[in-house]
Amino acid sequence: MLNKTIAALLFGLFFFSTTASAHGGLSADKDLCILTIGAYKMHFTGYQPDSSATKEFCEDIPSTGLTIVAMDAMDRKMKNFPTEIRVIEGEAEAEATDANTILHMPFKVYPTGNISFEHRFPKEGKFVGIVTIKDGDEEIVSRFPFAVGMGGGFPVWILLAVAVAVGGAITYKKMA
Amino acid sequence: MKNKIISLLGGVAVIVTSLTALYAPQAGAHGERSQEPFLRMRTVHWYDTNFSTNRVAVNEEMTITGKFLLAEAWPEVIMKPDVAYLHVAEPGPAVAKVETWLNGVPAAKSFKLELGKTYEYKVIVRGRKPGEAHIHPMLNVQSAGGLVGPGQWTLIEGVYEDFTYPVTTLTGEAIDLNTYGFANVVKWHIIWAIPALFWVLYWVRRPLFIPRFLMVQNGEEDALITSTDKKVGIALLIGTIVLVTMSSNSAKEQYPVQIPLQSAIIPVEALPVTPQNSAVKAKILKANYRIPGRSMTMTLDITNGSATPIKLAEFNSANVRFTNSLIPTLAKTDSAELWAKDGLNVQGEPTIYPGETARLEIEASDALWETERLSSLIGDPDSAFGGVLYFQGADGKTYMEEISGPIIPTFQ
Ligand SMILES: [Cu+2]
Repeated sequence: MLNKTIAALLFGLFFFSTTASAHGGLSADKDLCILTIGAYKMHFTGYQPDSSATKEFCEDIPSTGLTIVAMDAMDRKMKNFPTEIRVIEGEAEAEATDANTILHMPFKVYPTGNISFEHRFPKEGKFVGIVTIKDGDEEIVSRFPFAVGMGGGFPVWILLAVAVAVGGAITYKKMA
Repeated sequence: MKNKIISLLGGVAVIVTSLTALYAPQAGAHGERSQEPFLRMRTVHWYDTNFSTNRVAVNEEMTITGKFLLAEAWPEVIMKPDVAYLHVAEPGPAVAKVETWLNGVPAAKSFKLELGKTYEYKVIVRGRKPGEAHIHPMLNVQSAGGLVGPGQWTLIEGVYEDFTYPVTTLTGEAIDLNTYGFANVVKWHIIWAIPALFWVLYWVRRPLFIPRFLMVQNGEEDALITSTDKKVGIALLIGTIVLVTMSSNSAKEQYPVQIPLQSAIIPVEALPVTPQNSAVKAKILKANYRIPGRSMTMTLDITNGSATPIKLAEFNSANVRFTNSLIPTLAKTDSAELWAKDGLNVQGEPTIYPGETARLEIEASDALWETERLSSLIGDPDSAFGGVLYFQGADGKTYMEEISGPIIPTFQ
């Protein structure tokens, strides 16, 4: 009985680590990082070339410093939409003001479907990315809160190591 | 003590396996993007792809034609196309294949192909399952897998129940291949499942795995098999032999004319070398992939060995087209979704005259590098790319040249 309880706990913990964080319009769908803007989707990738070369991030940014974000239209129609990018400092619900805006790229059409920008985050903190597209007369806004340098989620390998240790101990005890 | 360690390791293995099973990421769509970039960029270069229609009724035929060039830069790590087979890639049997032709030879069997050569194919399919399906020509290569060509969204209309696949056998019998022999297949599966299920259930009630292992370790293995077990085993063995003999005899009676499964490989001659596919030579001096901007830049020397002035019109890699909007569009392919219309930018004088060698700086940029997951080539063990350059000749003809080489990712 104890075995089953512990096993259930471990499974629960494992699921928690991959699905429990909330990131607004941004989500890791299967193995792709997707930004949802209304009915449209963009492929979202973050890089920190100085600390981790071409390693890709979705959602939270692991450390402070130079960060490059690339967003790629998954729908060919989006190539014609003027798009505005804004990054503000603050909690998920924060309103955009001139004071808290740390990066602003006014409405512009990106004919290759790629929008790339870089920013140097001087300190750790909580931020919100705001992407606005103009589909004809309609403006569609997508917000995604993210953290910089907060260590990110609980590393999966630690969970695996704990699972291995606990599982091993139980089996060992049972056989003893 | 040894037992304990072994069972401990067993327990750990079970837990790790069940955890990793939960984590397995799924492949998207019907998989054409999930192949490694080197499998798509440096194997089969498809061109002139044409679908006779984009909507077919059930039982109606659609013809896919086109050509492919087999890359000379075929990756070392995958098998050469010594045994290849022409097919279609689709999500389930939405259409049924009726005929395949390769350079005018019926290609129902496998064939052997040569790298660096060009082949012309024709595949005829028949609408089967109503709905919208993404259909591609595909070359299956033994040990390398399916190498997929440009796809087309095809609407299949009608009712599935109407589908038939009429074929006349060599003995003159008219059959429907869609249902032929189906009842027989079901019947024999059930007949064989009965003894199989009995055998599994018979043993599953006994001590299994670890307890069984421990009994063997402790020298108690005799207790694991009783004399009844032996009798049941012998009965099942005899029963199996009788069943095999009987079924073989009944098949021979029902189908007196039989041929063995065909496994020959058809020799197919490549298309002849023409000035269009041999006159222009390219040498890559430098290639970079700029991660922000999704842009590939190349410096290359182009030698025009043809008798006409040429202009670079298209770079094509893994069915993604980068074209130069200033130059008339070339070969029609249906893959509008994989077409970066203004994605190709050529610096400097675009015209290369006969006998001249010109240095071109070209840039192929589009979000497709990422959304088609080609940029992951920067993580490959040999970060190399491949593709085909298409040149528009003043004589109205299209000249092509395969290119490949190492590529270095940059952030600038
Ligand atoms: Cu497809």
